[in-house]
Amino acid sequence: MTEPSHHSYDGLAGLYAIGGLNRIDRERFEQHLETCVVCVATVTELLPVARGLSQAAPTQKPPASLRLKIVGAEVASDPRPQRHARISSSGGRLAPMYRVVAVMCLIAAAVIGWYAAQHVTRSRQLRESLDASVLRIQAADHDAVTSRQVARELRARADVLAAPDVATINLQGQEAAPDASGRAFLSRTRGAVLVASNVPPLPPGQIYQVWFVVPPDPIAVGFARVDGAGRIFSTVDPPSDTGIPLAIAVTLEPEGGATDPSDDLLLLGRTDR
Amino acid sequence: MLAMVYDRVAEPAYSLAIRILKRPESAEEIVAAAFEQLNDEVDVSNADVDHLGAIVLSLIRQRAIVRRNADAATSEVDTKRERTAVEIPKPTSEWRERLLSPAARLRLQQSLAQLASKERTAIELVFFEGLTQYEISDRLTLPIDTIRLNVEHGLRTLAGTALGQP
Repeated sequence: MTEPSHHSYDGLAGLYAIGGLNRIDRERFEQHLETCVVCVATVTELLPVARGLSQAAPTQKPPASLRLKIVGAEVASDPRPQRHARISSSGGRLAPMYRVVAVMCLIAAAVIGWYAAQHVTRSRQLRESLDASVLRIQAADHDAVTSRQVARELRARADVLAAPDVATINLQGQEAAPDASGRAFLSRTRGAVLVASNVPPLPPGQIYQVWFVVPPDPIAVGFARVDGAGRIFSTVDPPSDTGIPLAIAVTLEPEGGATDPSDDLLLLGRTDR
Repeated sequence: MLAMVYDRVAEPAYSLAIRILKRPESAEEIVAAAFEQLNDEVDVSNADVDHLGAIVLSLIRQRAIVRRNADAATSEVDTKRERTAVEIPKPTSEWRERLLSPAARLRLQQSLAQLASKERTAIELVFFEGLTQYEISDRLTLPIDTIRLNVEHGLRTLAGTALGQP
C-alpha cells in the first residue's frame, strides 16, 4: 500500500505530529497519509510523544499569586487535613493578600484597556505578523482532541490495510456518479476501508451509505464521508458474521441512513465470491 | 472544579508558558488568560480534570506562540486577537486526554534533555517556538531533509525512552 513516491515524504511524519508543517505541506502530507501505511503507523506512534511535549518544559513553580488570581479563594483540590487547617487558620492573614490581588486585577484591567487602545493604532506590520502567526497556529493545529481522533481513525485504517486476509475490490462509478471510482479493502477479521475519488458533493440532508450485498438482502455497514475534493476515505465495521459479500455498494440516502438501499447508486464493486 | 484543574496542571502549564515566552509576567498572563477562556467557554462543572488540563495546555501553547511572534515583531500586544487565534478542542464523548504523572513527566524532561543536541534543538524550535521546517532550516543552516530526520528520530527516541514504546 505504500505508494512509490513515499521517499519524498520521509521524515514528515514527525514534523506533522508536532505541528511543524505549514498549511500546504500539511495538506499534501495528509493526502499522502491516505495511501501510505508506513506514514500512518509513524504518525500513530509519535502522537503520544507530541502530546507529552506540552508537559516537558523545564519545571518552573508558578507563583502563589497566580493561583489566587485564577481560582480566587477556592481551597486546594487535595484537601489534606493540614492544608485545610492552614488555610482556615490563616484566613485573617490572607485578607491583605486579597486586597493586593484586587489591586493587581485593577492594574491588569487597565493594561488590557491600554492594549485595546493600542489595537486601534496597530501597525500593518503587526497585523501581518499576527495573521501569519494565526495561520501558523491553525496550520499546526496541535489540538490534542483532533489528533487523538485522527490517530484512532488512522490506526483503524492501518489495521485493515495491514490485515493478512485483506482483499481488494475495485469499485466502479455508477449512473449517479459515472466519473467516480475507488477500491474497498476488506478483511474478515478487521473490517473494511473504502477509498474513492471523483465523488459528487453531498446534497443537503443526505449521506452516502455503504452496503454489503449478501443474500437475501443488502446489509447497511456504515457511512462514507466525502471531502471537499470529492474523495472518500472511510472505515466501516460490518457485523462479524457477515462474511465476504457478493458485492459492495455505496448509495445516496437521507441523512440518518436507510434500511434498504435506494436506486441512487454511486459505486459498485463485485467480489470474486 | 477550576481549582482542581489548576492544581493538577498549574506547574506544567506555567512551565510551558515560561519556556515559550521566557518572561514570568507574560507567562502568568497567558496562563490566566487560558484558564479564563476555559472557564468562559467550557462547562467545567462535571468534566474530567485531566481532560480540562490538556485543554489548558493546548490553549497555553497556542496563545504563547502567537504572543511570542507578536513580541518578535513589536512590543504591542493584542489579547483579543490572541483569543480569536486559538481554539478550544471539541471533545467527543469517547475521548479523554490523560496528563502525564509527575514521574512520567520527569522522565520525559530527562529524555528530552539527553537527546542529541541537533535533534532536541529541532524539536524545540518546532514545539516551543512554532517554527516550520523551512524556518528551522534557515536558522540552523541545515538541509530540510536533515531537519525532518532529526525531528523524527528524536521523537522516536523519546517514545522509546520516556513513554516506553518499543
